[in-house]
Amino acid sequence: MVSALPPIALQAGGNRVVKGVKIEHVCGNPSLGSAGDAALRRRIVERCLEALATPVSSPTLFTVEESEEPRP
Amino acid sequence: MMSLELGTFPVQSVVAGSPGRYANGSLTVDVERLRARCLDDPRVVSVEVDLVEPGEATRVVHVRDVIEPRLKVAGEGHAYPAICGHAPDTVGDGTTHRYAGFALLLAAEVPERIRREVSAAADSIVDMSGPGAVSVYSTLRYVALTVRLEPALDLVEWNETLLAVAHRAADQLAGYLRELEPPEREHFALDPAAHNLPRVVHVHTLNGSMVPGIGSTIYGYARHALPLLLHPNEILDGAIAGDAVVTYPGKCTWIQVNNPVLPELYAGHGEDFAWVGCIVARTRWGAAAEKELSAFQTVKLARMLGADGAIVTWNHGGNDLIEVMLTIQGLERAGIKTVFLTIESDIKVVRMTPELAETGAHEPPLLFSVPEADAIVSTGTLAPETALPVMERVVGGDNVAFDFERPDVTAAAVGPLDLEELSGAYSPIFGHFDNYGLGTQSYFDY
Repeated sequence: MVSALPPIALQAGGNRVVKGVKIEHVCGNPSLGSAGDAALRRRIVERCLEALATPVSSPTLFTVEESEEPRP
Repeated sequence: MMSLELGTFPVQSVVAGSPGRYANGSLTVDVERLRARCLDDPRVVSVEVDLVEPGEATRVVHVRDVIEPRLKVAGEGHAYPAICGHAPDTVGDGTTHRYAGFALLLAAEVPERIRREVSAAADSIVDMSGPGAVSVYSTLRYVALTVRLEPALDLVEWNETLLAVAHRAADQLAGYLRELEPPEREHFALDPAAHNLPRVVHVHTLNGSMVPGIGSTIYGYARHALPLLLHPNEILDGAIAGDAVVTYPGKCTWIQVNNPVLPELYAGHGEDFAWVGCIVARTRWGAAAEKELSAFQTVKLARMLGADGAIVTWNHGGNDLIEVMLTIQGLERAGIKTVFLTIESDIKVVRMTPELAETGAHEPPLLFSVPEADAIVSTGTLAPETALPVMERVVGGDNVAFDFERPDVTAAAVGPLDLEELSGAYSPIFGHFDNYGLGTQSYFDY
């Protein structure tokens, strides 16, 4: 799951938790402008797909670097 | 450094009459003069004034704030500083007169537009008798204002206009005490304590609104900010005030100056410990990193104060608990023994039966916890078992909508009110969110 509040998600037993941005906008950041926001949203979704493909044995946190350059 | 005398005027009866005055426990309210003062703003359409007593078959609805009228008669500043046009001088020094057992209650129906903008602006009630009269707010005498404003005001102006009406009224009522000798006096000062006493800090976490421009304020400042050190006298003089939008009672103005934690800590100061002050830390930050930063800075301030122990309180619920728990964790890891005072926040259950109190709800009593939070004092939980009965008299409005996710589910305020049927995530009884333990809704004493 993508969560702005990973501590709660992990404590509740979520096995793959992708850290979202903020409660007000979990899956993006409107302050980055529409292109930057779209790129960030894409990175979050890609990170989710990587998390799904990663074997885990206990609740595990996956983070997304907001400042990362968009991938080609 | 600060020395505050609170002169207390207990109120045993409230009647309408002229001139307005206080004498021997009896408060006479000049209702017409009060109304005129409230109406001194073209944005105020109408104001009704009602007197409300504990024990009556009365239900007050659309409760937006409860304010204890206070008057500074010596010392800098204005009670409830830096809001509603009051000067921003630092308060907490000098002499302040106050009523005990009496407050001004502000009631206003939330315009539909604002209800959509602020989901938590749901309706709340205070029953003055019967099974719903479980909170401390059922024990006070009130001058209740039912205020209607120009419908076009935006959220921030609506809030500020309502608060200004309420504080104009509270100031007028407090003015009755100007030349009087208080029947009771209490003195508050953090005199230097013996060096061998453990140093204790009150970590007073305080919800900040996620909706900009509203929310409880510190010297009028509502926005999220890093933690601030306050002298307890500043809080006793009204430095923290509520808003008129979100009716969680932990955020009303009355509780801030009647927070039982403050006199209790004063009672122990110099005897059992040395109280070093209140770190006021805002909660409900939007990002996990902001929650961490606030907690870390709170812990840093506690360490700089040389605290050996901490009492952590909060005035809200939900995700605020993350930064509260991270604070407890950081304090404990810094070697500061910490105790947490909290309601058990499984507040979704409205009809609390003794059996359920025994077994617990399906949800954990706290949304989030850390292993370091190993000393927790519960102030109880939840709501009356039965539906609230019909009341002879309703003040504040005609209809109620308790569940912000089902705004079309309304009921006649006169009742009966099946709270389980009508409520959503939160109990609508004003004061149920009893973070400091003033009500009577606990099932067990530990």
